[in-house]
Amino acid sequence: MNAARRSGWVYVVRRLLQALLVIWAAFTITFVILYLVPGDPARLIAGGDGGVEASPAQIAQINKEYGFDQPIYVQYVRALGGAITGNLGMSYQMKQPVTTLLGQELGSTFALAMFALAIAIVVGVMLGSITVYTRSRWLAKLLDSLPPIGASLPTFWVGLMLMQLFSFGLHLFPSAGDAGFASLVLPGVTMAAPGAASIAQVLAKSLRSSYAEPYVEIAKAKGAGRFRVFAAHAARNALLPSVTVMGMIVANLFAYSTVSETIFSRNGLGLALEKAVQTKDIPVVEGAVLVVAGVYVLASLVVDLVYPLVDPRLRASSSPVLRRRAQKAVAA
Amino acid sequence: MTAAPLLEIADLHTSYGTRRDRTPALLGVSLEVGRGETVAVVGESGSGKSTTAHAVIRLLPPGGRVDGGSIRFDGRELTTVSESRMRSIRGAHIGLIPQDPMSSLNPLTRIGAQVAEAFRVHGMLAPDPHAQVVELLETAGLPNAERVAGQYPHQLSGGMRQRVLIAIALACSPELVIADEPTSALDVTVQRQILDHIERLTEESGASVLLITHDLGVAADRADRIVVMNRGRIVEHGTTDKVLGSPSDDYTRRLLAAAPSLSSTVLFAPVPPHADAKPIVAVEHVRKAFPVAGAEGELVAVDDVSFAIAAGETLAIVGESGSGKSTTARLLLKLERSDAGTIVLDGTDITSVEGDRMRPYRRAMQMVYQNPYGSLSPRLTIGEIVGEPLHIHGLAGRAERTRVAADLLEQVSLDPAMVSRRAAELSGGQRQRVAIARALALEPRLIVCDEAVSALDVSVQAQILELLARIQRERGVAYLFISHDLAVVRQIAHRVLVMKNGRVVEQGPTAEIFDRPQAEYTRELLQAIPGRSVALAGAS
Amino acid sequence: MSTIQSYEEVEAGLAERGVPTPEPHAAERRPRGDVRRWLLAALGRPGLVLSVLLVLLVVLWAIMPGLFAPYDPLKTDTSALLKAPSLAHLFGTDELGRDVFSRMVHGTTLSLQTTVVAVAIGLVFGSIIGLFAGYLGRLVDGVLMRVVDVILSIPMLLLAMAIVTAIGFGSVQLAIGVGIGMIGSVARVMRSEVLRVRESMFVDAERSMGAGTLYIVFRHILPSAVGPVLVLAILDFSQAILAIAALSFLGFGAPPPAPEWGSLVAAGQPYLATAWWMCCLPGLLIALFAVCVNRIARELQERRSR
Repeated sequence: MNAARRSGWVYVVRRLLQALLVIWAAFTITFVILYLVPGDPARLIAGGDGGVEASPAQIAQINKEYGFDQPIYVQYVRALGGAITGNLGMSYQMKQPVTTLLGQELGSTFALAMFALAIAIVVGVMLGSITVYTRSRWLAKLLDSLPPIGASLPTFWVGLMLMQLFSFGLHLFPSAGDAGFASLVLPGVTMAAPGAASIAQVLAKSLRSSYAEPYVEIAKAKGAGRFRVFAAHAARNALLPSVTVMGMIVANLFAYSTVSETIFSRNGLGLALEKAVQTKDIPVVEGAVLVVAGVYVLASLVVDLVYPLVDPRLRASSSPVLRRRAQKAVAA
Repeated sequence: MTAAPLLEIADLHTSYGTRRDRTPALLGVSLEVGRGETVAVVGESGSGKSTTAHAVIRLLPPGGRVDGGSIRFDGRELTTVSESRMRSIRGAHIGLIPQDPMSSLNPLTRIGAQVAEAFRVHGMLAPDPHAQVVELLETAGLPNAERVAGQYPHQLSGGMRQRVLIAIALACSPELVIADEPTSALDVTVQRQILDHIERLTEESGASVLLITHDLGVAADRADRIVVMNRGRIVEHGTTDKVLGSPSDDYTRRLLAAAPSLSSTVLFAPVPPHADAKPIVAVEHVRKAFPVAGAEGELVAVDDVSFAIAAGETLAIVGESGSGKSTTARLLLKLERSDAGTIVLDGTDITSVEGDRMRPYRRAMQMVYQNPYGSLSPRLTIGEIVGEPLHIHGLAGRAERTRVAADLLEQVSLDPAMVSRRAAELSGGQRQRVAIARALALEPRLIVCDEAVSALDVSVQAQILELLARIQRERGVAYLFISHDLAVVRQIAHRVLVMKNGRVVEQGPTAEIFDRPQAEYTRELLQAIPGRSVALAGAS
Repeated sequence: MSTIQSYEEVEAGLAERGVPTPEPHAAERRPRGDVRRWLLAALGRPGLVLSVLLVLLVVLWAIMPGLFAPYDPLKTDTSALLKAPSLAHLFGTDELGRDVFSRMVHGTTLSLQTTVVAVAIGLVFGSIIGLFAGYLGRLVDGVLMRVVDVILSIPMLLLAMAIVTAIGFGSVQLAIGVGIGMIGSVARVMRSEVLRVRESMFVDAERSMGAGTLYIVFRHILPSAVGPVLVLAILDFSQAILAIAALSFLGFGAPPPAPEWGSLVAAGQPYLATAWWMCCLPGLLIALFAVCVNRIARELQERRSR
C-alpha cells in the first residue's frame, strides 16, 4: 500500500516534469520559427513594412534596445530567462510588455472558452448518449450523421450565419462587443460546434464498444434495467476516451478564439493574436502560442491525473505500460 | 420425473443477421431440464449450444432473433413475455455463469458493489448489504471475502473472478443456472475446483443446471443427461451413461473418438525412429526475468530449466498459465534473450548469437503458434505465406516458391490450389495446416508447437495431431510441444516436462509421468483432467 | 478545425498513457467482391455516391476552372452590383459585380492545391516520425514522441499562424503551416499501427523464421500501416480544407484579388446584413465539400474495421 502510494506520487511528479518539458519545447520551437527566419525585426518596429524607411541610426538604436545585435543564443537565453520570470518581452507595435497585454485579454477569452466548453460537453454528451441509448433505429441513424457534419462546418461561416440570423434577422443577440452574457452566446456556440461533434463521436463509439463487453451482458443477466446497464456499466467505461477528447478540445477553443473574436469584434487573446500576426508583432505571437500551449499542457495534465480516479487499473503503479508488458510476457 | 420439467424448449428456431440477410442458427431445438437436474449441451463451435443458452434468457447478441418455437420456464412461456417481466426473471429465477471471467466483471467497480447489484435490482438487498455480500462471497468459496468485496476485478485471478461471477449468478437463489463454458478460459486445476463448486452449490440449493461445454469430459463428469448438438440441431440426447456408452449417432461417435480426455489413443511412433545419441538441442539452466514496474524486484518467468530433445522425438512442456512454458520455448528459439544458462543447437552454442548471425540457425528450428488467426498475415496469399521462409532465406525464386508451397500444402492434406487464397477464407483447422506447411518449408529438424491445437475444436484437434504424428514418422522431425492439456500431451509426446512458476517440477517418459507421477503437483494436474473417471472405466 | 476525427487517434493517445483499450475481436475479412457487386452495393447508398461525385466535380473545377465557371472571376460589371442569386448568377454577384460562383470555381484551384501540399507535408513527415518511433522504440521513440507531444500541444491553427508570421502570408506558407500542424496526429497513428503490427503474432512468426528488420518493415509493417494512415490523411484533408479556409478568411492567404475559398467568405462579411449570399453560399460550398470528403474517409474507415 505504502509502495503504491509512493509510486503514485512518483507518477504525479514525473507527469509534472513532463508538462514543463513540453512547455519549454513549445517555447523553443516558436522561438526558432519566429526569430531564425529571414527578416529584420528592427525595421518592423521602426515603421512596419512598406512604411517610411527608418534611418540607419534609428535601426541601430532599436537593435541595441531589443538586443538584436546580440548573438542568437544570447537572445534565446535572455528570452527564456524572461519567460520563466514572467517577462515575455515588449510588443513591437503596442510598445508595452507582452505579459501585461495578454494578461488584460486572457480573462475575456477564458470566459468565452469555458462557456464554449460547457456547451460542447453538454451537447456532445447528450448527442453521443442518445445516439446509442435510443431504441429507435431512425433516430440513432439521424443523430449519428450529425457529428461528422458538425465537424466539417467552417467555424467562421457558422459564426457569420449565426450573426446573420440571430443579430440581423431576429435581433436576439448582439453582433459585436463583449458586454455581458448575451455577447458570449453567439461566439460561444460558434466555437462549441466542432468540440461537441468530437465528444459525441468518441462517446458514441466507445459506448458501442463497451456495450459489446461481457460485463454488460452479466449486468443484463442480473436483471438490471436498460438505464442501469447504461449508466452504471456502459457509460462509466466509455468515459475515459471522452475525457481525453475534452482535454484536447480546450486548447483548440483558445486557438479558434481568433476566428470567433475577429468575427464578433470581441476583445481577447484571439483578437490580439490576429492583430499581432497582421502586424508581425513577434513577441505577442510568441506569447500567445506559449499561453495556448500552457493551456493544452494543463488540460492534459488534469486529464491524466483524473484517469486513475476513474480507472482503478491505473492506480496501482507508476507505469501501467511496463506492468502490462511484463504481465503479457509471462502470460504468453 | 413426475412434475413438469423446469425448462422446456420446443422446436426452437433462431437466426442472426440483418433484416434482409439472415442466417439460421438453431433449426428446431427441443430439450428439457428437470428440477434439480444437470443437463450438459455439448457441441463444437457453431453448433448452436451457446445460442440455445442465450435464447432462454433472451440475451442473444445483436442481430439475433427467435423465429419460432417455444421456451417454457416454470410453466411460463418466455418467448412472448414482456421485457420488464423478462428482467424480473433474469438473475432472480435464472442465473448466468459466463464463459470469460476476465472481462465479465465491470473493471471500474468494486466487487462488493457488483455483487450487491444482483440483490438490488430485485429488491432483495438486506438491511446490511455488506454482510450479505461478504456472506455470499464466502459461500462461493472465496477466502478473505471481506477483502475481496473491497477489491477491483483486476486485482483478482481468473479463478477468483469466476467465483465472484458464480456468487452473482446464485445470489437470488435461482431455480435454473445456465453455465456457458464456465471454465474454458481457466487452468485445469482451477477448472476442476470451479466445477466442483458449481456442483456443490446447486446441489445445496436444488437448482437445475444447463451446462454448455465443448468438452465431453466435463459433460461426462458433471451431467445427469447429455444433449449433443451439431449445426443448429440436436443429434443425440440421453443419460450420460447412454450417450457415452452406446452413442447412436455418427457425429457423437466421432466426437467421442476425437476427445483426447476420453481416449487413450497413442499417436506417436513408440520408439523415435531416427534416434541418435546426440540431441538436436540442449537447453541448460536457462533463466529469464522480466522487470516489474515500480523498480521493486522482477518477475522470474523461467528459472533454471534444462532439457534436451533428440531427433525425431517429441518433448512436451506442460504447465498452467504463468508457468513459463511459452517463455521457455521463446528462449530456445532466441526470440527472447536468456539471462543465464546455455542453449546448444546441433553441437553449436548459440546462447550469445544475436541478430543476423542467428539467421542460419533459425532454419533448423521453426514454430507453429496457438492462434491460427493471428499467426498468418492477412494480406498475403496462402502460397506467399507458405513460401515466406524460402523468401526470407533467399532460397528460391517466386515461381519455385509457389511450386514448393503447393507441394507442402499437399503434404498437410490441403488442396494445392489454395495457394492463391487468403487466410481469411480458411477455417481454423485449415489455417493451422498452413502454419505447419510453412514450418516445414525450411525442412527444420525441430518444430516448436506453442499450444498449436488448443484453439481448435476437438475433431479438428484430433486431425491436426494425427498430421503432426504422420509428419514425424515420415520426416523424423522433432517437436517441442507446449501445452496445458495433459490429455493431448499423452497422445503425442514421448517425454513430458512439467513446469510450475518457472521451474521444472518433473520430467520423464510420458508413460512414467502418467502412471507413476512423482511430484504432488503432477498428480494434481492428472486428477484435474475432466472425464478421467470415464476414460479409466472404459479402459479397464 | 483540428477536431478529433479518428478514433484510432484517440486510442493511440490512450495507449501511450497506458490506458487499456478493448482489444479488437479477431475480425474475419471478407473476400474481395467483383466489380458488379461493388456497383450494386454503391447504388444502395446514395449519400456515398453523391459525396464521391461532388468531390470529383470539385477536383475537376480545380484542374480546369475555365470549363466550369460561367464568367471571368476578375471581371467587374457595374451593371450587376450585389445581385441576389439567379439563374444567371447562381451565387449572386459581389460589390464589384463579379460573379461569386465563378470566383468560387476559380478559387478551388488555389485552395485545393494548398490543401494537397499541406496534407502531403503532414503525411510524409508524420509517417517517417511514426515509423521510426514505433519500430526503433526505446530512446528514439521517447524523444520523437515528446516532439510529437509538443506539436500536438500547439493547435494546428495557431502553429500555422506562427509560421505565417515568420515566413509571410501566402498559400504556400499556409500549406507549410497547416502541414506541420498535421504531423503530430499522423505520427501518432503511424506509430500505433507500427506497434500493432510489430507486436502481432505473424510478425513474431516472421522473426522466428529468420526474417531481418528491413524485410519485416518493408514486407509487413509498412503495407499494413499504409491503410489506416491513408484513411487518416483523407480525414485530415477535410480538416486541412477548413483550417486553410479559416486562415485565408483571417487574411493570411494569397493577397487579393486572387480568389481563395476563405477570403471569398471574408469579402462578404461587410455586406452580411444586406447581401447574405456573399457569405452564405461560398461557405455552404466549403462545408459541403468538407462533409463529402469526411463521408468518404469514414466509409473507408468502416471498411477497414470490418
